[in-house]
Amino acid sequence: MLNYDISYYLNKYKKQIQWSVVAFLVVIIVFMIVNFISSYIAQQGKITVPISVVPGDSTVIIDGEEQSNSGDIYLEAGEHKVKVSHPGFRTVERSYRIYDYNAPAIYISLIGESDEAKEWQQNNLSKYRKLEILTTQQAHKYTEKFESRNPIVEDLPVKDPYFTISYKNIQDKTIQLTIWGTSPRYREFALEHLRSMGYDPTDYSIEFTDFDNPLKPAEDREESK
Amino acid sequence: MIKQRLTSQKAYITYFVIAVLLIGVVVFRYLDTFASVNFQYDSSMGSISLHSDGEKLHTPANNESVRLKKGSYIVKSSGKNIDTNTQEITVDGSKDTYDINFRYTDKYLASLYEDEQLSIYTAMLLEYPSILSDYTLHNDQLYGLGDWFGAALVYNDQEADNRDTLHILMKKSGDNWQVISTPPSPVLSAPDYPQVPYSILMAINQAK
Repeated sequence: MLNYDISYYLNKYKKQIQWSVVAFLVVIIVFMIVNFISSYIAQQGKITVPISVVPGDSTVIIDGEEQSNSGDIYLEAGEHKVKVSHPGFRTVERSYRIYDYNAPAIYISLIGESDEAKEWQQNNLSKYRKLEILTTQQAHKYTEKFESRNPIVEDLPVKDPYFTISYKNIQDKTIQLTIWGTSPRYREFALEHLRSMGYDPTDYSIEFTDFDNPLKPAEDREESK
Repeated sequence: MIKQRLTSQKAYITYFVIAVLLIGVVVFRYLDTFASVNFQYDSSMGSISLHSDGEKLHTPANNESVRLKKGSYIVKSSGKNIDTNTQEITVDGSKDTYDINFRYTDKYLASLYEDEQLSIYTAMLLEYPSILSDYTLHNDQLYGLGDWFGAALVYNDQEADNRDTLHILMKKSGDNWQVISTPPSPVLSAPDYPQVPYSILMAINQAK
């Protein structure tokens, strides 16, 4: 007589069931490990870049390849061309400098062009605001990193009636000081002022604005004018 | 009875293994407080000595590997006409080679400058024919091993206040001097001259 009670079969095939469960768990674990290792290898030498776009289902293309439009992506250090597009919205194309020293992030919001897109935009202002907050936070992180690499920027600019000391950001990594003085004597005063602030001018590339070096070849002086 | 003996044997083995592991950890941590470093310098010119807490520890030969406890040390240079400057180094395991660059004493550099002055001025005038008629050299001197020259160029008509004080840097290659700062500038910036020892640039920039 056939017994359809499930417990009969569970008992009868107990060992096989146990082995199947174990095998299944092993496969899952192996799959997770392989996935983890291949992600880890893919991320080696790359920089983690958070990405967020509005609308959230926009297409993100970086250097010609489609990428994830949310979460974290992994890019090699250098300059990258980013294009974000969505039907009905104005496409945005930008270049980003991605380095471990400049707190990179890709936060892009699109502006609606079609009536439908404009309506969507009006109904989803909170998403735009959220992205703005992320952008502000990223800007703060960038400023912190930049100031820690170039502490002098916290003391600049210096504005005196006869000279000013300011700086230019050179590719997010370093700075070039710019010194303006009403005469050679005040340019020298600017340098002394820097020293009195605890900074040695030797440490910085300096551009003296309105300074025409008389020892520069004549053709170079014409060019720089 | 046999079971009891086996149990106590197991316990002894366990304690022994734990003791060996603990001793191993202690020994490893002790050994990790040391690092091997070597010093590279021109031994034909002079020698160096290592000091710590005012005590002379060792006089390493060029490229000799020395095992030192991690921490700070003073490296003193010495030799004929060599400036007995000191350099502080921190041994922390991150660096295993220290390059020690000698420099001559100011007195010896001054004596060398007397012999080099004509060559220096000739090279300067070749590059800038009117430089010595428009400017006066201030704090002109040799640096390093007499292979660097620096000076402040102060415009002769200071009353007019229409010319900046510039700084000139020159390097000797073989028997010839060459102007490196082209053109001489109010400041010789380290980022613009990565091949020049920082201390030399700083000293020239301070010349007035």
